[in-house]
Amino acid sequence: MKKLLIVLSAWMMLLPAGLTAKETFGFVDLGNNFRNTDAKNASPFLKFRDKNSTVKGDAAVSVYEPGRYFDVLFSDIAQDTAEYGLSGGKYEKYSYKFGYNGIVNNSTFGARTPYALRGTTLVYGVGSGSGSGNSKNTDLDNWGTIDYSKENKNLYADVKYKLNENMYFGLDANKVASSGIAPRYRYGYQVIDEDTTNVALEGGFKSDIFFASLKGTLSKFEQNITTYKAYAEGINVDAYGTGKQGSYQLVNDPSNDSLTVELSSALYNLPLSTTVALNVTRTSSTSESNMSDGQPPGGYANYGAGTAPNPNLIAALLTGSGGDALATYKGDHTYLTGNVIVKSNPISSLNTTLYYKYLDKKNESTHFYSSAKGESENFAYDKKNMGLDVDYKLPLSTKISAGYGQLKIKREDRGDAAKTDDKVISVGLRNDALDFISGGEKYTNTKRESTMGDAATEGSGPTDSAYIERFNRRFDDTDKKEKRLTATADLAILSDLDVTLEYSSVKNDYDKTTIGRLSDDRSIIFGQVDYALFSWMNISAFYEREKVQYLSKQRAMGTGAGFSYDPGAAATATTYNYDITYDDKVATYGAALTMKFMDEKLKTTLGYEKQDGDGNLNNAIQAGGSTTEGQPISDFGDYVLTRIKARFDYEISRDVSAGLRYTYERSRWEDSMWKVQTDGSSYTYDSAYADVNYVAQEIFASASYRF
Amino acid sequence: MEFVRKWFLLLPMVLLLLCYCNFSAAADPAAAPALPGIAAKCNECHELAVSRFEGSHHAKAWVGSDRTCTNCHGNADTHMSAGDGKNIISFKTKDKELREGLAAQCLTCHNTTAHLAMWNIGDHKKNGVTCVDCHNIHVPATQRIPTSETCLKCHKQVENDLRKQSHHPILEGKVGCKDCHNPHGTTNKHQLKAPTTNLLCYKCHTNKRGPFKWEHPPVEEDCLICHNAHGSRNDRLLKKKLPSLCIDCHANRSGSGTVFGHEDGLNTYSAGRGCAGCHSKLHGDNNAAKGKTFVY
Repeated sequence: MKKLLIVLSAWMMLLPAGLTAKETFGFVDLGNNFRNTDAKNASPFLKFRDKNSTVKGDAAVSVYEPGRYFDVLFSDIAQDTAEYGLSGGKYEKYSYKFGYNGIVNNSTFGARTPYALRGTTLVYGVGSGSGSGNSKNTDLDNWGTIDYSKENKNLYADVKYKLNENMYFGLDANKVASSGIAPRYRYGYQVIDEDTTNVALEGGFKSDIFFASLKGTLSKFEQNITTYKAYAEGINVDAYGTGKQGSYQLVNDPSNDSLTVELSSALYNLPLSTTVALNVTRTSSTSESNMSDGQPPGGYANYGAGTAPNPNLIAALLTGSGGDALATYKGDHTYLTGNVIVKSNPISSLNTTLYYKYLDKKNESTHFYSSAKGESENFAYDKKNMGLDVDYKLPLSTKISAGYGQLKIKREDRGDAAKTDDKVISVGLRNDALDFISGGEKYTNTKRESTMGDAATEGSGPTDSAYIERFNRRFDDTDKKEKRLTATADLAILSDLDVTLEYSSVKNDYDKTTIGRLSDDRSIIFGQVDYALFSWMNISAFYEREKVQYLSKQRAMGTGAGFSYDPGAAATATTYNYDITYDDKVATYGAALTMKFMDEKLKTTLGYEKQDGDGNLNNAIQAGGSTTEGQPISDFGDYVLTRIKARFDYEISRDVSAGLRYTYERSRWEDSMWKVQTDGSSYTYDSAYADVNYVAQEIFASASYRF
Repeated sequence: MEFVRKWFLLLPMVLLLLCYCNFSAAADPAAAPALPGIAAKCNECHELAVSRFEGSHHAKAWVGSDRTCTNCHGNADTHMSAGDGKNIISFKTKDKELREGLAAQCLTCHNTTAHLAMWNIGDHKKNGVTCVDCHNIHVPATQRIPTSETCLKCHKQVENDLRKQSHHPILEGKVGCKDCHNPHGTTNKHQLKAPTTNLLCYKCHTNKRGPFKWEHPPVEEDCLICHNAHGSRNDRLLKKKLPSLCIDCHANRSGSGTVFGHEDGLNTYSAGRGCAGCHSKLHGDNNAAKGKTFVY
């Protein structure tokens, strides 16, 4: 990073000498943030910002000479979110850009953890307290705290060159270094240390009648910490009375390579004003790792006093399907896709689009078998999507549209839906006849037929756990009837008053599902008003209400007499069906007022925004089932987020201006999931993602110079 | 101390940039090329438009060529002689039939531009969007607004999703609409830059690419089964709050507290991060010994 800054600084020092008397424009902005304590400690408020930096500086220079240009853009200088970019080129000949940018994603500040990091080993033993059996220390006051945050540092270069009017090629490359800490498995955490390198090379030809391009992209993901050890030691060992807690290894996402070759082509100006477009890609993704990753040397013999070695973790059990011992896992996915689109205008009022899209995902990864964990599943599928869309223009600026499409998917290794067949019909209407109002609507109906695979015959009988698979259907691939409606209207009631109205609704009925999601219903109403009240005043307001409702049927499995995986069996106090209704309403609304004073030298913007979410969960337990469970939860993700923003920009002279911004953000969550610290048995929650209650205030003062 | 350190780095860089001011001031206005003949004529009535255009990328690219106002606006002879503001190709026209021809006007020069190769089959053309709805030809290059800001002028519901607590950093300027979509058209649904959602997501989320020893079927098939790409009121762009999302597929469970709302309080499934609290490798697990549980 420092080297880069030195190079860039040197470049900038040299540039003026080489660019004397060229046209030069640019700006320098400098500012400083002042935040209250809540603002500093709330990760949602600083979600994509450098939490440690309050100084903000942006600067840019654009230089022109006949036929050439050169731009320098620096933003968030010296912050984790900095961007240092250089770009330039010769018009209609070549262009280049390269530089660096950083992205920060702050997930949680001050999450609790009983772990500490020693090298790449997580050591359980922060703080002190009491526990019993295998339970962890529930004395949260004695836990440590940790910030969950990820940072990407991206170095990039992009060059495009036109050999002549028709031919071009380009090179695009970047390297992303990711680091940080993420929550992992209850209250543990994971150190992120990953690198991704991408290189793409493209060449092509484009004329009035023909286009073709070939692009190859190589992407390499490197996991720098393949496995790491979480070791529970030390803390109140005697109090646990179980001896030394066992260690276990966590396995991270594997390094992988991906190679994509893409061919695109198009033919234009064919008879009937037809364009034919083609795109074919082949992507191969591979990974290689040890089968024994995750198994500590010597197995789990000391996983807990009196506990037998965990048979699941014995390497010898992991054998190939042919019975031979496996040392290495080789992941191998290949995606072959093909899209063909034929678009025509046989007559001026008629548009037709015929399409065929194909995807074949092959999975030739190592197929392994473990006597304890069963057989690995290599999911693969092929999709065929074809259809025809037609638009026809009627008098009075009216357009009608209709479409029919079919999507067929065949899946390997997915017993609940080996095949699905979607038939999609759509109709639409749009009218723009009047100057002050235009709008349209579109209705889409989807009917999916799903064919079960092995799941239809799973389980030897109602007491076999696999038997439930005969009834358990998944909403992403089961039979369904979907109705989708969208409607929009744009009104220009007065010359300076614009109104936008939008409505959308999606309803799914999973009509052949016994256990699983039975239906879902989502609707959104949106409206926005923009009004230029005077030449110096603008007011805008918006409102959106999103409402969702899901209904699903579940089955609680108990023990004893009447125990059955058959949802049709009579209910007992511990084995029964129940319906869950989850509904959620989110209203988002706000207003902004922009005013200009003093011959537009002073510009002020005042903004208000509020989000109000209300989630509810209700259970209806089958008659004869539990009488103690299934109480309604009224605060299932309730939240209120309020934002107030004020901004003042004053133009001191033609080149110099000053700005002042104030931001107030109040966030309040009422969520049953965060109200508990322990579940009453052995788990304690770490508060990852839970720093959502805050009242943040921030003042940002800046000065700007333009030249 | 942080304050001092950052400013210590920032100030020298800013001072360097300020050096450019001298060179800018040194530029001789008289050296600016005179307007070509027809442009000078246009300037008599459209002074503001012409002066703004001079700062645009087009004007810079055309220096030294014979291209001028009429290359875009068409022959202006009748327009000038009649003086009624008509008989000229206006890119601000609201006439629907005239609007349909505007893109063709741009394509007279840009017909060999490769990134417009799929314009004819794209959603924007289909829905009557034309070049100048997004591109302002007369705006000086230094005043151009970010691409995403342009997109969100029309895609207002997307903007609202981006305001929600979990979102891609598009409003923050760290990710752009064009990172995923090609507004000029592709052969893919929603003008995506990859033939499938997963292949698109894997471009940035390379760690999710696997291939993993244990795979989770919906993850392998389509990221959008569980996630909203633009933004969500739920954590991690999820379409539905955990654990409700998980149990829609994993619909049978055993043990006390199976049903949310147990009289003893919430349980392991439904407190904290829900199922993901323990099943933290649900995108795929490379620990062969753990089986299909995706825990650890």
